[in-house]
Amino acid sequence: MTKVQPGMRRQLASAGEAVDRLCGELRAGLLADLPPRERFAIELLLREALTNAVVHGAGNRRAARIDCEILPIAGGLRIRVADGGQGFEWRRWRNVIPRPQIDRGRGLHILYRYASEVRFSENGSQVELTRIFAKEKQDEL
Amino acid sequence: MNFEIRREGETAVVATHGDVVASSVPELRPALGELVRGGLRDMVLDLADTAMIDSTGLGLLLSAFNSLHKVQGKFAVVNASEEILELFRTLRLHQHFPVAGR
Repeated sequence: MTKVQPGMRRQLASAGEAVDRLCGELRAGLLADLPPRERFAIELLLREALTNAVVHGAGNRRAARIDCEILPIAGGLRIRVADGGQGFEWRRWRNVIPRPQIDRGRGLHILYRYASEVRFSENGSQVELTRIFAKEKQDEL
Repeated sequence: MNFEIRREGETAVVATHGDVVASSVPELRPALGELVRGGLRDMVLDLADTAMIDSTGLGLLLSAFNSLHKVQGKFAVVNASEEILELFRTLRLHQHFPVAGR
C-alpha cells in the first residue's frame, strides 16, 4: 500500500540550489515511502515546474520568491508552483514535441508526459500538476 | 555534483556522482565541450551514481550526442536506473543513442 505523509508548503528563493535543497528534503521526507517510480516522477515534475519558475518566471533573480505546495490527494499527489513573473504562452508549447537536434524545450513535454493532469493559470505564472500513482501489481491466483 | 573522466582507448567515460540537473549542468557542460573540442570521438556517460536527470540534463546529453554525431563520433549512456531508462523511453531519446541500464 502506497503511503504519503501530510503535505507541505514552502517559499523558496529563485535559485537552482534552493530547488536542490527542497528536492533533497522531499526525498528524505514526504516522498520517502513512495515506490521508486513514483518518487522519481514526483521529483521530476517538481524540478521541472520549479526550474521553469526560476528561469522564466522569476528570471533568475534570487530576490524573487517562488511558492510551492505539495498536497496528498486520493491515490496521488498534487503540486502547485507559483512565481511572481509575467507568465508565458503555455498554450503555444502544449503539444510541441522537441526535435532531437534541439537541446531545449523538454520541460513542458515532461510535465505533460508525467502528470495525470496539468493546469496552468491564464497567464502561465502558476501551474498545478496532479499525478495519480500507478496501481501496484499484486499477486493473484 | 562531482564527475570523473577516464580514458579507455579512444573512448572517454564520464562518470557522474549526483544529479544531472539544472544546477549541475553548468559545471558539466564545459568539461564535455572540452573533450569534444579536443578531438574526442566516443563518449560514454556512466550514470551508476546518478538518481535524477531533468530536462536541462537531457539537453546536455543531446548537445553531446549532436556534437559527436556531427564528427561521426558516438555517444552512449550506461548504468542508468530503471526510472531514468523509463524517462529516456518516454521521450524516445533511446532512439537516437544507445542507453543501457544497470
